Amino acid sequence: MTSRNINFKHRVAVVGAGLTLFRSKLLETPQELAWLAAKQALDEAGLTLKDIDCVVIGSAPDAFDGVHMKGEYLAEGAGGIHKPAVRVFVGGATGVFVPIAAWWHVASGLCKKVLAVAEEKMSHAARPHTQYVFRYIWDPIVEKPLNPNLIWIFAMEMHRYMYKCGVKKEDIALVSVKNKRNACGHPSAQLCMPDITVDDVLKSEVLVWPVQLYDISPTSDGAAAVVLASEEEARRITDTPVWIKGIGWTLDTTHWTNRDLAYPEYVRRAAEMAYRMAGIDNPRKQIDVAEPYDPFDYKELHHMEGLGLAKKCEAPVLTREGVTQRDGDLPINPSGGLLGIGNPIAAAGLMKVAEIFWQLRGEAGARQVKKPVYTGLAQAWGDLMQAGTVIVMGV
Amino acid sequence: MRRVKYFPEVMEIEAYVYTAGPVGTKWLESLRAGKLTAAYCPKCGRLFLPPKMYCPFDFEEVKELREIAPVGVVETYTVVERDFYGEPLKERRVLAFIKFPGVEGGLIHYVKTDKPRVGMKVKPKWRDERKGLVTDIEYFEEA
Repeated sequence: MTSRNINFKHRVAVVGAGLTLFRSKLLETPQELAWLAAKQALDEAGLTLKDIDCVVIGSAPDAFDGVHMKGEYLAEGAGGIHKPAVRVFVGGATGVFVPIAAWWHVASGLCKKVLAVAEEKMSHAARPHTQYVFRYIWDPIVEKPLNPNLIWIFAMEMHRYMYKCGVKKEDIALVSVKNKRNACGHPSAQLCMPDITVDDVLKSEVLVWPVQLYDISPTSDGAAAVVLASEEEARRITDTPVWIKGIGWTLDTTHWTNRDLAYPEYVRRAAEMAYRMAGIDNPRKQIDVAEPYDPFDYKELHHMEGLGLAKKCEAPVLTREGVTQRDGDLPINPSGGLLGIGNPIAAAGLMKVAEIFWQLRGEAGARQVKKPVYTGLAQAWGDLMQAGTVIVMGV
Repeated sequence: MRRVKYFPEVMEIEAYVYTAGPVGTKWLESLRAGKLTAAYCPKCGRLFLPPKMYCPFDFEEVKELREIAPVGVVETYTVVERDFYGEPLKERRVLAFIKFPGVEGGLIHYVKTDKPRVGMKVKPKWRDERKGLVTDIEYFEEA
């Protein structure tokens, strides 16, 4: 294992989080969505914008909101005016990368209190379909002439995973059922389905075999925000700071033909980086609750394995045994995940970080997991499906 | 174009559908009614443009618009001589940044005048058929 020399000056805590509704078409402008989440996070921390030193903004492709240079555009709603503000971008992995970037702002000693905001308004890219934004992510020479659709890759990845691990569609559908049911406890949820069954998933429209409608998260509008503070500030702000214990991120090759489709190496490496920093050597035992990225149901399983929360091909077994339920031994996506709450790309990733924050504080309400939790993890995945971002938090 | 060397592609979504937000929607409705308004912050009392549901100065929620006097002052202007393709325009157009007394921010709009000047007082020329767009004001003219 390569050693990474991670030195930092200050411990960093999350002290507040905010989240808008996730919906398919919201009236608020992207700036206003950013403000709604940012304001809620500040209120929760008992801070005002004046208390914030630096702002980190995250958003996925400009093409969704239809405003180029979206970071600059969002800066005002995110509270970044007349402050050092920056936008970070690693596609779908952005949501978890936002608090990672905010972390180094504080850990370095450069800023004491940072507002981190992620926003996405996919509904703006209206016609023919939001999906068309993804038509231009392909290699223009070897892939684009085939007129590929984003779901093609996922379909082939899902199939490869099913083949390699001997997983049935029924096993994968259990993830969708769990998350869409979990979402019913979440006030932001777009797709709460309390009575959904495996049968419903299996009978839903086949989009690109083996991917069916209920295997996929919806397109959504929404925003999320968290406030990060240095140890000194955090202790002043709250009695219950949630510490960021480890961060990690990695990229795999952009050519999806040159990656291991059955196992997410990019997540494994990002997790290893975060675990080393957090002093975790047995994640299955040391992580109490996790929010792996689940834009598709099989991705939750895929990512659990990449994160070392399950052995290779073991995640479907744990799911079938109920281990990953909210009252299970290792609750996975107790929020309802992207499958249940919705998927405004960058905001969805940060929503997961907010969920871990609330779970570790015991403030998750109807979604609070049954067992006591001390260490949690959030993970996102993106770019051309090769970026992994991981954050480990603890109380 | 020779295909094996060049790969031409049009990279556009066919249509974007934007929303004006709750306060922006009200602002556009007032334009349709032939009224100029600005967003009002209940905390700091500032009036500001462009309208939005939060105050950019103190981050408070904004719900209210207040009608403002439709007389603005040209803060700066330019004269547009050519179109997007570099072709000379038949008629030169004056484009100005217009501020309204007591309002933060302002509007960019056309001003119909042969002699634009900074400090010039201008008023909106409303269209008869209004749709709830910023172009419901056809242009500003000397007040």
